[in-house]
Amino acid sequence: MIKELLIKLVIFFVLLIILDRGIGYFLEKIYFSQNHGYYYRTTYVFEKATPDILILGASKASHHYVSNMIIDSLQESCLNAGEDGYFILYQEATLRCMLKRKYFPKLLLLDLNDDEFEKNTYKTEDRLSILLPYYHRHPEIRDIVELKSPYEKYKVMSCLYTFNTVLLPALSGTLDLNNRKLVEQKSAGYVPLNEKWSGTFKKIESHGQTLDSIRIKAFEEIIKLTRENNISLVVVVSPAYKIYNRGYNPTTEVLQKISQKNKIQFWNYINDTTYLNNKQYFKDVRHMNDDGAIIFTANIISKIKTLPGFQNLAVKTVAEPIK
Amino acid sequence: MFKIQWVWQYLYFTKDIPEKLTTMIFNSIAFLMFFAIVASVNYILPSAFRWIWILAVSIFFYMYTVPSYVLVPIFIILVTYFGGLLIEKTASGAKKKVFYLSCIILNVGILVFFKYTNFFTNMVIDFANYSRQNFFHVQGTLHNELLIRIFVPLGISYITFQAIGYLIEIKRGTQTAEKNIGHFAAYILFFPKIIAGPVERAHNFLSQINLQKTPDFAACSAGLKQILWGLFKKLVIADRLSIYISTVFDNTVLHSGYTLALCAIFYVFQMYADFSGYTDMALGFSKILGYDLMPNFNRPLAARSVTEFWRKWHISLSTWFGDYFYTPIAIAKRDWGPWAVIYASFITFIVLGFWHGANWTFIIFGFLQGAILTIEFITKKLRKNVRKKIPAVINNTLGILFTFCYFAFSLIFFRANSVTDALEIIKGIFNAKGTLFIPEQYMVLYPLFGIGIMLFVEWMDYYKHSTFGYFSHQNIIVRYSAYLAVSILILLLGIFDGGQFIYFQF
Repeated sequence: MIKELLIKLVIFFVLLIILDRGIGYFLEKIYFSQNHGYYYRTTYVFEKATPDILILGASKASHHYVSNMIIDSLQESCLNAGEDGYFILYQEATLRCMLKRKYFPKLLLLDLNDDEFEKNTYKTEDRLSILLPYYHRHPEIRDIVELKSPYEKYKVMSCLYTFNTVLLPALSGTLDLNNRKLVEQKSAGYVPLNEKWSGTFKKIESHGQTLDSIRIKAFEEIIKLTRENNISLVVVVSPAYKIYNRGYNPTTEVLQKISQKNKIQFWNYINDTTYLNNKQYFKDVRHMNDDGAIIFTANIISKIKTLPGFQNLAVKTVAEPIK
Repeated sequence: MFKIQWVWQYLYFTKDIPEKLTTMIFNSIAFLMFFAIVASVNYILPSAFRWIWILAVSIFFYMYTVPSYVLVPIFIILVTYFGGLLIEKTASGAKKKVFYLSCIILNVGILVFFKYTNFFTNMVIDFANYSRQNFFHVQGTLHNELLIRIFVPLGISYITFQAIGYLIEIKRGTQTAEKNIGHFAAYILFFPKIIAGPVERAHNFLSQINLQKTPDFAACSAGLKQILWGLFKKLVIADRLSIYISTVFDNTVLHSGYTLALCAIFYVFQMYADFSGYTDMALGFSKILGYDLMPNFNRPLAARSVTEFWRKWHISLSTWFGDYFYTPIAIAKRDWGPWAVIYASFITFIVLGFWHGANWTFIIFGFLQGAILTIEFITKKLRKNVRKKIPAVINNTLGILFTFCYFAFSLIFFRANSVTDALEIIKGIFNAKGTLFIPEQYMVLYPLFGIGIMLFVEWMDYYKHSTFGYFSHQNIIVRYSAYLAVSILILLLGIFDGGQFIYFQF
């Protein structure tokens, strides 16, 4: 009985492995032949992009930094590589991939959330699935992907598993059914939001939050990589429509401490009344709309101009916010 | 002042739910590795010793989360085992009744304590606060000082129900008391059924332990197929739907009526795929170990009435309630005529709803089932006459649609955290304006595809009188193609480690 069962199981697994490799090969071809769409952004940033000024971060990054304003003002190429819903570990992976192909931006603007390091904000392992298709092509990010689960290094032996979920989006990206390519190219990655927030402040009671040491370590690793490769790093916590009780925020405290220790710029806009007094700049408690993004970007540009390497730029007129 | 919390902290009852619990769910790699070892050793052992291995492994499984929690089922096993022997040995009369009632009360008491203490104490405090403010006009609110933070022991609802069913059968004389405490413990703690059932009957399981059957090729093969099918339903349909449904139902005020209605419909499929998928895996693992557990589902989504639905959904629980609750109540009140049936239906389903969780939402869920069953009972003759005048296909289709929609509606209460939330969802379905929320098309298309496959397979099983359709096909190429297709779909579309989310800007 056991012999018959084992033989049939072996036959099944051999066939499964063959199909896994075969279908996986075609999925890889489809995935990496995309030239527009959601997953293409990641591939483009990992494997092709060479901007002088790189913006990394999650949704706040993608909606707060008007890349074209930066390009016009600073006369440097700029790419907003912010990715909705993906946080510090994804940004570390992005940087590693860019550095591996010997690309070194002049300036890295790393936008982080005001609750970036808090454990209960999101589950770390949930936000790493997007890196699976890159596991085999990019050995430099494998240890990050393996944080997903203790058995991840065994699961990725399956080619199909590394392309879990992506079939339809990849096909959509290849066919560009939503005409995103043109929009993305024109805006250099910036995604404007147009609604206006009608709610009230979100008041945060800052106590007892557990911080995730893995994310803090990822932040320190980013600092190390930028230092080793002579990349100017600026850490930004861009505005949010929130006020912190007693001004205390565990994430920004940690960011402040580590930034000071490593002598890097840290620009914290949380509790900044320029934005808190102007509800019309926000789409929701976390994200500014296009009006707010323009004001904020202008401010960022003026600060960048004070950095070494950007001080002798001609004064440029910054675009006025759209009324 | 002595605080009961100190005792619980000592016994680890107040610890946060350990992450270990998630590593021992059936679709985790840790569990699959664990099971491979268990099944291999089970097969190698002489048949007379297998039950010892099964018992040891079940105890290990139970203790894996928090070791001290095993004291609870051990207590239940001791009470029920010795109680069963005493009940059987004692001649009928008051003494027998005392033993019987004592054991039942102890079992029910354990269940009520762990699951419902906070519910009842909160109810008392809420009533006291309401009275203070509205009748006595006293300011301030009372807090529940008796609130205890307890992690409910694993499978406590299933364990106590199996124990209670065993005692009732012994009292009725339809079951002989098990003489081997080890066999009895193995029945109660058998790990494939501990987390989500089925609520196995003692005579079915104990007879198999006593038979000492060696698992054969047919059983192992059937078991593996059932596990594969269960994995498909759980990972591809249930867990994928869960992402979308959680995103919507956790932010109901932000979504349109269309979206809420779609989620209510999806939730039926999520519940079914999750529960039946998990049950398939439990039955599959059991088969490989040489045990046949009772089936828990029989195409409930094809039921043409709610009465029929409850004969096909969570069969082990509904038959348990039918045999030990509904029938005794209906018989006791038979002098009431049809009102006995109505009364028994309401009581049974309200308790059944409450069994699912300590919240008013579950009570309302049960009440809704009792209500519709009552209506179906009262209108039975009328509907039969109407059926004669309508073509069967229309009648059946309307019946299936109505049953599905009614169950979907009642599940809103099941899903919601509170009655207020449930009513918000229902209000939103009819009033909330806006478009259908589909952040990415694949988030809806993938589970719809999985649902389509599931329904097709069930339809085929029904019409061809087969089990798992193509998995049992005579042609080896068809069979292997089916195994491989399902496996590939699991790898391509399944949710692993909860590693998916919908990014939703609020």
